[in-house]
Amino acid sequence: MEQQDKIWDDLTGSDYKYGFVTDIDTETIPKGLNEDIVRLISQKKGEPDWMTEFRLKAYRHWRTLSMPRWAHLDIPEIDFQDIIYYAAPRTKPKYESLDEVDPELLATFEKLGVPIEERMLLAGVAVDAVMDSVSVKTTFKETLAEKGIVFCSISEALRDYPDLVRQYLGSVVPYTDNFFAALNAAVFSDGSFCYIPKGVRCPMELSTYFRINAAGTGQFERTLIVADEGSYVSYMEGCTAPMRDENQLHAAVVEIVVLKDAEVKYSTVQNWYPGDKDGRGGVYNFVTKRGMCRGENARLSWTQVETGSAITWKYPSCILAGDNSVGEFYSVAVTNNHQQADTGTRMIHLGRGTRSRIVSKGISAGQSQNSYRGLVRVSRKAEGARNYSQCDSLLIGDRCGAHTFPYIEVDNPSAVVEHEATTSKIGEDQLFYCNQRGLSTEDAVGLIVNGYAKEVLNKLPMEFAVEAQKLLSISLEGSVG
Amino acid sequence: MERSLENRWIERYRAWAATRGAASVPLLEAVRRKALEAFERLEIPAKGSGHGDRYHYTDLRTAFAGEYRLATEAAPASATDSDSLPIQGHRIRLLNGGCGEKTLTRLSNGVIFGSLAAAARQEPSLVERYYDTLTDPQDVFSAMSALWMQDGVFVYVPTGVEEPLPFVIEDEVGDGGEALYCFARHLFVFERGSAARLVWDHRSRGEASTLKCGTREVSVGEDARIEMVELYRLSAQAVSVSGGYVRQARNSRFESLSASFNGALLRHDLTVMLDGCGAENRTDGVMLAGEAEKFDYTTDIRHHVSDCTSSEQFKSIASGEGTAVFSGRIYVAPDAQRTNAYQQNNGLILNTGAHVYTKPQLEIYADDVKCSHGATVGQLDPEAIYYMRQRGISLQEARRLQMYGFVREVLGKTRIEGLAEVLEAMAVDKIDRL
Repeated sequence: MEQQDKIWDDLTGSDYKYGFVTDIDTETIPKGLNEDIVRLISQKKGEPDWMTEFRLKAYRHWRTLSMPRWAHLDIPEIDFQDIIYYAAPRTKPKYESLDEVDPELLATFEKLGVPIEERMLLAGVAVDAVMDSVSVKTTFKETLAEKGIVFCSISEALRDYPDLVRQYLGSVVPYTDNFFAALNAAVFSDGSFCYIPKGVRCPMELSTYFRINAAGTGQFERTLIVADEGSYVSYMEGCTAPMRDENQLHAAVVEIVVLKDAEVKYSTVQNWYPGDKDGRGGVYNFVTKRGMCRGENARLSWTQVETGSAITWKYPSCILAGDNSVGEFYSVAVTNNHQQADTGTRMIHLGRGTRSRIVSKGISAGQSQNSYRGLVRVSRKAEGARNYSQCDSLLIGDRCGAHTFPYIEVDNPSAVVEHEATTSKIGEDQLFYCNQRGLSTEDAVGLIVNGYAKEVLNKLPMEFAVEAQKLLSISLEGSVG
Repeated sequence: MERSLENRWIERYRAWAATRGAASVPLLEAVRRKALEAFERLEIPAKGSGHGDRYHYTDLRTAFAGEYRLATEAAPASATDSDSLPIQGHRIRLLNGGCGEKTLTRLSNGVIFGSLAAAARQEPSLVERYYDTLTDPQDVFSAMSALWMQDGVFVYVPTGVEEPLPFVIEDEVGDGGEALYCFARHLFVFERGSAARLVWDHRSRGEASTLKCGTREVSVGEDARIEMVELYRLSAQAVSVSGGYVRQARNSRFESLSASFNGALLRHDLTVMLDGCGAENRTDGVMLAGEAEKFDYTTDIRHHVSDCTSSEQFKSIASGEGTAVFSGRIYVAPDAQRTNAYQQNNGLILNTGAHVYTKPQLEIYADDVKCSHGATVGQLDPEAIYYMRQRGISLQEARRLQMYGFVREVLGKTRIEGLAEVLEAMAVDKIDRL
């Protein structure tokens, strides 16, 4: 027992491995938010008029909204006028080769374990590295271009493919959607844009690394993925932030449009700075992610491993509009120390024969609060819709909380919806069994936690699965060994 | 939020208070004053995520917006016996929240039951010890019911007494053709080691629109064993908003079963506080919502201390334009270790236009717990229907059998003699109309 207590103690003692600040000149604008700032951001990015108008409309709408308070989170007051809404690394905006990239920037990625070159060579991954707000490096673009795939920063897309962007931007997450989506629409600095043409199967995993760097700057990423008819893409997103004392706000929006017979897999590994042991600092992660399966047989799958952030407010959702479309949500959320997470999904069944599946695994340790919140809605017209949800919570230590808030709304008589949830701690008997077979308690906890999360980790692309497993270990370090 | 509705109710209250004599009991008046203060700052909840998300699917603001007459001192209740449940027991009759003659019955074993107003007059120290001690100060409906209450049910079972006969509460609402509001507060005190069973029959008199709002407090002493069964068979114009607060002491057992058969809008709020180690709670229910009926059962099972057990099972069927809502929360406080909690909700949806909403929630702050919930929404099993039809059973009968089997599992749980049969007969009757 004593040994176990020590392990729980150790577990809260794990320090953030990615805490460092890169000394690169960043170009920022004054603190605060008003119409002029919105115009300034738009102007700095050289955007067309309709885009400036879009931002202003969003800003005006945002002003009428107030912070959502319904989540099971204790969110301190945020002064939105005390945030710098734009920061761009003050280096040349474009690079032809890696040599031109600021070596310090490259070193940062190195520390993060984002081996651009290695990935280029070994994994065959095109990395669109986003540091603070402007996309600095896009690789493999030519290979992708041959297939007609567009993979670039959203600002480039606004310049090169304005019609595509205009057609889809805000079509899944309108700026009126919620407080943070409105804020994002008003001030988003950059992000990724991806278009897969008809019938094209993207030959490699697309990946973006997000990173918050300049102190006191919010990160407002906007990602837009459009998978045209019969196409396929697997998209990976990973996030880390250096150690910072004050809280940083991250309010991203991800929109995915999946057309007929297309398939999109979106995987996230999120390990923003979670704050220290006493709950100081850490990133506020208020993200709106939503995909729409527009056409028949469209498939969208969200997989997320959430280990970071002081506060997470995130519900990757699927609107299943096309007949026989499929939505999936696989999630592992780990909270430790004073972290709070309220995360889950929404599956909105609109089309006939739509199916969805939710597997959520929560792990709470320390004094953290971890909530699953999910909605399954079957509308009147969704004949034969089917949903299965499973939400498990694992408690490590007696000071943390694990909560489950599912909402099931069925308006169609042919729908079948099932939901199951369990909450428990690691069984003494399981530990005892492992101990008997010569495993230390630490190894046993590691084994059990990994086994518990396996169902979700298996859904991650290979490159990510390894990293995710590593992250799980770091997050629960001490108990997992 | 604009408070015009609340202000209208406050005006209504002041007008009524001016006409009332000083005849009332000081104890009830003291709570009434407190309730007025509370009501002046509380609001009648609109549908939505406010108020801890308790009113996500049900709009009660509209229900309280009608221009109904407020049922005041009711004519002596002479309950119509034709509808009475064929159950042996001590009868307590209510009409529009009033107990008629306001009398108390005292049994030789020390059991007291009857009118709460009479009890407040005759047993002030007993009532004072328990009245308005369990309600949530944020609960607007308990404040409203305390504010307008004329009377209500009072049942007291002293230490160690096991009352063999069930208490049968015949609770009628409606008075000829007039639309009315009525409010009541009820108090149940079961002392240490006592045992009792109660049946609460909610009925309508006539077809007029009514809104009944009542709050009950149930105090369950150490080792006490209590069973309470409620059935709602109100008219198609009747709204019922009922709140219940149950506090259980060490090793006590409280079982409740609620059957919602008829009513325009039935909203139940049940809060169970497991305050003594080893307490056991079972909360079950059946909702059969057809036509435009809306039934909403919201529970909050609060494990405040360690080693308690709770289980919930709710089954709902919705047809026509009917809506069945189950919204349950299991709360496990920090240090409430070795909690065992289970929650299950199964819904059947029979046709387009009907709605089944379910929101089973777990909120857990202790680690050595076994908590789980399951929820399903589906339809009648076509294979089972096919099987029955092959054996010569008509489609209608096969469907009926399956629905009957579905709800019977819950209705059959009562141990009150003869009651399960009565409930099942009512269920069959309702199923035929679904």
